[in-house]
Amino acid sequence: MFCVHTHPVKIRFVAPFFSSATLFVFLAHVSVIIFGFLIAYFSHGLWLKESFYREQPIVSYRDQYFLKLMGTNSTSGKPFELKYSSFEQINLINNDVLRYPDIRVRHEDINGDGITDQFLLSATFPVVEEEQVQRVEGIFMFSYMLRNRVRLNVEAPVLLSHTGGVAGRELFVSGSLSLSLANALPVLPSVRTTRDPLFPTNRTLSSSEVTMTSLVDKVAARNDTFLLEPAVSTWNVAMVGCNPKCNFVIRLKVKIPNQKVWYVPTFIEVAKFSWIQILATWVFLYFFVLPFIHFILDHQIIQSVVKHPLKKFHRD
Amino acid sequence: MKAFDALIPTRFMASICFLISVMMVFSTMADNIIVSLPSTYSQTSYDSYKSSLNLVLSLHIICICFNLAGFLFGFSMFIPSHTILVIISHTIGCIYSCVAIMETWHYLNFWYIWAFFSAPVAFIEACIVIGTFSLGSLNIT
Repeated sequence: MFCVHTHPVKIRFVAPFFSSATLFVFLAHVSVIIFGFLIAYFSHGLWLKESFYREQPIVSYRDQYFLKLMGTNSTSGKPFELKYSSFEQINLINNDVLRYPDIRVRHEDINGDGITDQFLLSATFPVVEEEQVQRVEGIFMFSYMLRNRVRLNVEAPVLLSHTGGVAGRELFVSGSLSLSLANALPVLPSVRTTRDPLFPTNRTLSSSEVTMTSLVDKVAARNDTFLLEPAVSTWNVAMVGCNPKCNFVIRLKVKIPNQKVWYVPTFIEVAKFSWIQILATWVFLYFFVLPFIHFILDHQIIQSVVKHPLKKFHRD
Repeated sequence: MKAFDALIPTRFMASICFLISVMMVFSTMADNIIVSLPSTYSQTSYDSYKSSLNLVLSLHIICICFNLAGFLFGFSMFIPSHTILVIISHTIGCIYSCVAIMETWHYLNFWYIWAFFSAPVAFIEACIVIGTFSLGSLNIT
C-alpha cells in the first residue's frame, strides 16, 4: 500500500457553557496566560530599564583650559604655584602666580571618516631651573556630541592630575576619552546640553568658584562625566643645567574610540522586549498544557461530545 | 479504560516527585530561613521560623503520604477526575518547591504551596476515603 495523500482531521469537542469541560478548558488557558506573565515578570528583566549602543562621538577642542603647576623652589626651599587659564577671570585673581604657556593642539583623523580620532595637546611652560615642578593639575575642555539615538552636545572637561615623586620636566598622558554616566541618558527629540557651563560667558564667577577645588567638584557632581580611561602616563625628571631655556611640558594624547552609550529605552522598545518574553513563556507552557488538554478530552476523562468530521465514513 | 494506562503511572510519579522535593527542603531549610530574616537577627526568631517551616513540611509529608495511601490502597485509583486533579496539583507543587529551593524563597512560600497544591487534594482524598466506607466504592469499574 502507498500513502497517496495525507491531511489532518479537525475533531471538535463540544460541551454546554455551564459544564466541567468548558470550565476545565477555560481554566487551563487562563492559567497559562497568568502563569506565563508571572514567570516572565518574576524572573526579572521584563521591563527593560536601560540599554546601550555604540557610537563614535564627534569631539572638538574648545580652547578652554586651566593649568596649575606645583613644586618647591630649590633655592628658597619654599613651595610655589604657577597657574594659567584661558578664562580671564581666573587669571585676574591669580595675577601674582601667572605663567603663560605655549599651547599647541593637533587633531588627527586616522581612518579618514571625517570624525576626529585623536587629539595631541601640548602646553609648554617656561620655568627657571630652581622651580622644581612636582605636581600638575589641569582641566582641558572639549565639546562632545552624540547624534545617533541619544542627542547630546555637552562640554567634556578632561581632568588631569599627576604627582611626580621627584621634580620633573615633562608629563605625558595618553588615554581614551570615555563617557561615564551616573544615570542612563533619556532618548529625547531635543539635544541635551550642559545647563551650567564650567566657564560661563554670560556671568562673572565669584573668587571661590574659580579655584581648582570648586571646578573639579562641579565636574564630579555632574551626571555626564568624562574620564581618560584607560590612561597611561610618564614623568620625565629634570635635566640639570638647562638655564636659561628651561621648560615644563605637559603632553596629552586623547584618543576618541567608539563609545558605549547607556540610554533609557523608549516605550516601543520596552514593550517589544516584554511582549517577546511573555510570548516565549506562553509557548513553553502550551508545549505541556495543549497535549494535556488533548489527553483529557480525547479519553473522555471530562465528558464532552466529540464531533468527528469523518464519522459517516468511519466503520468501527 | 485506556486512559488509566497513562493516568495511574503519571499520578504515582507526580506524588513521589513532590514527596522527594519536599524532603529535599529539609537539607536546605537554613537558607530559606536566613533569607526571610533581617540582616541582624536573634536566635529566638530563627528558631520560631524554623519550627514554623518544620510544621509546614511535616504537614506536606502527611498530606502527600495520605494521598499516596489512598491511591495505592485503591480508594481513588480509578477516579479519573480526582487523579487528574492530583497530577496537576502535585506537579505544580513539585515545580514550585524545587524553584523555592533553587532560588531560596521566603519560608512562608511553603505554607502557600501547602495551602494550594497539597492540602486541597488531601481533603478530597479524605472525603473519598470516608465516602468509600459509608457509600461503597467510588471507583469507575
